[in-house]
Amino acid sequence: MPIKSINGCIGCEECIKSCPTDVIRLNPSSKKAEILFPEDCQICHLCRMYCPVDAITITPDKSIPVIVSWG
Amino acid sequence: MKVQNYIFKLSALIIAFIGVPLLLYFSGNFPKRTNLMETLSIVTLLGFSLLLSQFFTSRLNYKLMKQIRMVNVLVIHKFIGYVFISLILLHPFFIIIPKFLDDGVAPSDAFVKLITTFSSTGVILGLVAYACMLILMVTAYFRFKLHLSYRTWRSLHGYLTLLFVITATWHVINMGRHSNTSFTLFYLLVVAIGIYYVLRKYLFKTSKK
Repeated sequence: MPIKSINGCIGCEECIKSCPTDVIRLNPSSKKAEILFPEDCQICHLCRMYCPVDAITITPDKSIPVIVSWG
Repeated sequence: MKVQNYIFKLSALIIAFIGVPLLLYFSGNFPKRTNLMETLSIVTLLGFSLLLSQFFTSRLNYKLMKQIRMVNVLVIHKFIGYVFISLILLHPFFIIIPKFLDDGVAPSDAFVKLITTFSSTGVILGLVAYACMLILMVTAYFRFKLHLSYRTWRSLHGYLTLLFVITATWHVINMGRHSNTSFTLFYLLVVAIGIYYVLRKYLFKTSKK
């Protein structure tokens, strides 16, 4: 599993906005980010880099290039 | 015999407020980060735990006060208070340290985002606890310049402590990176005993004016 865990989330949603493959969603009850579709993770590290509190842990596997839209 | 007794009491406090959090930390199977961040996490955890120990290194702990005299209890209380409140005041800045080391969001932007995410109950509780902690430290330092009677001072310090402890513990349980069931139970147990001690002393016992 590429994206491993989220500990100490403040619910700012920056990871949700930054994830190109919609792996992370906001849990409506806890108001914190949770990993919903880990199998879609491309290990691009964008969620980790945009998280202001360094809450996201990613496995040290090889990174897959980020999927971006063109045009 | 008396010396042995107070050494035993102080050792019990050290085991409860340094030993137990360390044990829970190392047995907690939390995701590990860099050595710097893990060290800061341990220091912050111990800092908070030692602030909770303040309930038991004060006038509320009558037996310890009787054994080592109030003046020595006060030295311990002031030392832990000033050192570890200063440390916990810095903890929001510790959190953004990794942002200096990668190419993501700028540390200043991360800090602003951290303290302005008002949709999170944990952040609001943290800000309230932070303000209480700051007021506690400033009013303790300038205690004699406030010209308050002993009883008024004691009530201010005690009730502000209760507000701080309740909001801070809730904040820690809600948002803490190392908040698992064991840590939550440990904090709740200590806080419940501490609140009971304070209320018992303040509401049901008389003291000098």
